[in-house]
Amino acid sequence: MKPAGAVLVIIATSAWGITAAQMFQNQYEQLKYLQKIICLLRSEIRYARSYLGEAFSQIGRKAESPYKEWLLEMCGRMEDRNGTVFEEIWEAGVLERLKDAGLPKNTLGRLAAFGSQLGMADAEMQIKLLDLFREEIEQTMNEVQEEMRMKIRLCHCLGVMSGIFIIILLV
Amino acid sequence: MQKDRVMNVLPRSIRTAVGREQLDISRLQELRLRAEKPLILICDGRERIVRDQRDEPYMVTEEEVREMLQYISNYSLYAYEQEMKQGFITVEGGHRVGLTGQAVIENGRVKNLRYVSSINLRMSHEVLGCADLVFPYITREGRLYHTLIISPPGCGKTTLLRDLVRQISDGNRWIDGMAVGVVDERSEIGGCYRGIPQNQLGMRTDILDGCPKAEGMTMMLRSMSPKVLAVDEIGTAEDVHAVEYAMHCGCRLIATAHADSMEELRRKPLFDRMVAEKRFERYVILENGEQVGQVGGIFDCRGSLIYRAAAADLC
Repeated sequence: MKPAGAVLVIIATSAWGITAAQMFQNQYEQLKYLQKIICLLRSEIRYARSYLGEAFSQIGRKAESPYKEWLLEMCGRMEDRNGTVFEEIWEAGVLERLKDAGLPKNTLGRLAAFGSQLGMADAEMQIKLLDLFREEIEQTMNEVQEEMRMKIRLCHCLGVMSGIFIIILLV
Repeated sequence: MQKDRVMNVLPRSIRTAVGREQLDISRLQELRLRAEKPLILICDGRERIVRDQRDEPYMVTEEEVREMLQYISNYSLYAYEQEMKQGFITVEGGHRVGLTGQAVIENGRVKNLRYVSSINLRMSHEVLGCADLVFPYITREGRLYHTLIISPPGCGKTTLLRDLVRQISDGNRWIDGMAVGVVDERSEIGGCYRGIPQNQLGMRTDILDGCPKAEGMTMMLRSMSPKVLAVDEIGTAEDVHAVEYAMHCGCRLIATAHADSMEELRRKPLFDRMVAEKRFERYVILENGEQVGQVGGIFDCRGSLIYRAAAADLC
């Protein structure tokens, strides 16, 4: 009975370790997806001169959750025209819809603040700002990737080790 | 529908204030917002100051001007960079929104506007049938004459042009329906929303929206082979050159230009040459008489008057 219990404990803690490791992996994937959305937005502005609502609607229709809901909801709020400025619509959208997306906290904060730089009068400047933000995301992705390998290994090890530790304590 | 489109671009508090006025939107011509000044409406040619709940003039704030700027540009001023240089933006439904503020200059030319302080919303009116009076004079045995519509701003040139396009496209008792190409640089003829005209332009009309006139006319000739080409507000040398090119291609042309009489038109060198060369075969003069858009007179290619307004109202 005891060996079976010990195996179960190790399996459970290892599964926890794997889940924690996946979280780091997911963070990288989410950053990659956000970068893709920024690229699509840049393209809509650069080549089609789409206005923001139109671009959000185009991108949102093809995007994955929760970005789909974020973009389409922003588009809807913009069409409502209920006295809210764009900056607030964007910030509220990011904080409500993307808070559980798995993005690093600093990226989420920067994304929420980025709304104040959108919709300005100069298209060239708009594109440069999007490029700058995309580079920032790339830098964060590189940092996350560097830490990711070590953290994933650490999570896996901690998962197994904590299982063994619990067994030693119990036995 | 038109009311919704107009109200949709107004700041929320102004929507409420205008709503209290019990306005017939179809009679509204202009709505003027100036920061820290009273909100003014122009209805049936008369000025009207909007009042607030305390029956005092409704004062427009800077925030309201900024809010309206966000709405008319769909929160995306960069998408209207070219229009801003000209000082106006056309919103859904073809309504023209004029802007003034501080001009940003680059290389001696206006690059943009900032600190926008005044907004003038000029309503676009679709008056079906307003071209009925003109047709007998601009057609002969089912053939359309090259026609130039002339008037000062706000006299209904675009309204008349729009109805001409609709009737030529669908056909009427004077002319069989034919393919019409419209180059709508300022989105005022068709009032396009995402490429689809919101105004009635007829079943044989192709519209090139937001495209510079001169370039658009050539594109339209090459791509859609229209029988009739319609453009609004020609004035530059490029426009005139493109008009001549289109005429040489066998296309009938209907255009509009700013001037209040044939004499004033002839004082403009570009048009003087066109008149002398008899490029246009008919000139329709509009004026604000008892009603907006009344036909003052119609002239032939030699400048002879062939129709003079009596009590006939057009639009």
